[in-house]
Amino acid sequence: MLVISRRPEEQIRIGSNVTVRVLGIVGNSVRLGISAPRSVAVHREEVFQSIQTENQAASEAPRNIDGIL
Amino acid sequence: MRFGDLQVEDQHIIKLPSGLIGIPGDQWVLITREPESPFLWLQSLDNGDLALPVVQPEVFFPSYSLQLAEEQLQEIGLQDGHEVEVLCIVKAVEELPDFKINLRGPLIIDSSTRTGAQVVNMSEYPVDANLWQEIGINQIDFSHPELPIILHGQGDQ
Repeated sequence: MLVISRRPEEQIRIGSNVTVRVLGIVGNSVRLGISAPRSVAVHREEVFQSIQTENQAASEAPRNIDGIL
Repeated sequence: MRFGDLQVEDQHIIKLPSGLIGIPGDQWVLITREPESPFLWLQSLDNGDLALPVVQPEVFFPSYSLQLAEEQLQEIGLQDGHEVEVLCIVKAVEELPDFKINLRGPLIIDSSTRTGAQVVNMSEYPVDANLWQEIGINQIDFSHPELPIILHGQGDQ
């Protein structure tokens, strides 16, 4: 993992057209501004975790519904 | 197999090269237990016990919209002119009124190549919406996706 220190308003660039700017720091929360072309999907990691949790729960459907679905 | 032995032919197989998010397995089939039911089962061929209920989201959420980045379409190798079917996973519990639907992480499947992926909708829908939020239980317009579906009814196991 690459570790970089940045101050507010500084940015990093990923590839040729994705930039991540540190907008500000309030308490223990960092606000980031991400600029990326529309072809690139940007999501919070937690979204993937919550989908994974729902997938797992959906795969454990109770057997007694087999009669109605 | 959750539903007993299945007769699967090559043309039934749905390929999800990346599996589902957090659930591996690249070969699946769609099963219907009742020809007139909007609920299908996405059955893994890698793990016979693994099956998830799925539906076409627009049947339950007529206003549903899916917003994707280009790279998510590239992931399934979608070609120009091919139709995409969208399915959402349902969390089925004991009682039908308590069913939930994941509108945030739908599956998109190229109906010509039958290759798909679970993607993240850029529209910020919930992962566990109440299935009956927009449409009542008795108001369902029955439809099935343009994908191969194995009819495997109650008497077939």
